[in-house]
Amino acid sequence: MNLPDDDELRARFEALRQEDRGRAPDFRGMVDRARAGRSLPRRSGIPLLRIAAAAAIVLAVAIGVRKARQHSVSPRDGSGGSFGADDTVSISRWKSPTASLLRTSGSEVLASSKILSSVLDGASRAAVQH
Amino acid sequence: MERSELERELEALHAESWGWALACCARDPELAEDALQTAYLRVLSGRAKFDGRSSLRTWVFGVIRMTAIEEHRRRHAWMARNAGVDATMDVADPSPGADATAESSEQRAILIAALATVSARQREVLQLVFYHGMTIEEAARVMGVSVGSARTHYERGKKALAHTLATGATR
Repeated sequence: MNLPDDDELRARFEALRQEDRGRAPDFRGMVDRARAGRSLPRRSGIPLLRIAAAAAIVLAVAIGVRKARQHSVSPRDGSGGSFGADDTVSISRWKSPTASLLRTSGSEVLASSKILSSVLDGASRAAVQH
Repeated sequence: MERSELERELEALHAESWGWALACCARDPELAEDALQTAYLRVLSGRAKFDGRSSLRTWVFGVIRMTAIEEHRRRHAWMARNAGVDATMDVADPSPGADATAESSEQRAILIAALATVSARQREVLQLVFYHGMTIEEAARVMGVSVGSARTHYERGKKALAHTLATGATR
């Protein structure tokens, strides 16, 4: 069995090369089509979609964080350190987000009466103003 | 390198690039044209940048190879996802397909069939060395492997190809 040597292999490849060369598509037409973007439409949409999705997620998180901060804002924020009547009202209205977890049966028995609380509220407000 | 100059260089290399694109796309002309066109777009749009560390031909061949591999993977995924087609029927299989045997030239068909019996890496290095006249070092650069690895593929591939051509034991 005679194995083909390098020269014979090279000659066979050269014949293949010559045939391929005659069938090569037109370079100019190919470049023009490439410029017209015909070869990449299916790929171009994917990164844009991903970028849009990432932007939407970032926006949603930013809005969520902002809302959470608004809910949990400290009553002394923005008061410049003084404790006025408005602050007293906001403290009395503030509710812990986890307050519902502390509700137990019979808790209404332990709650202070409305009259008593209003008297104490007035007393505390007067004390704060003095 | 300016775009117009790059375009002239690409035009000068076009016939070579076409031959390499065919080899990278299982000798399917349609796939080869698609891959080559996409590779040209990458080069001319600047998405692939020539850094001058190798010859322009070596670099362009590397871009064509990577583009063909990506196209192959994309088609593979698309076929598996949308058509439920058996992935093993993928037309972009690296080995020459049925079309190759229908070539007009008998010698050509014999060589293509013989190339189908060696591994993809061996086929690549043989194509680069014998068809494109590259050195082993240049072929290694195009293939993205070490020179030693390319040399091993070359020696084994050449031996296997010569044996297949001598015995006519193509698949």
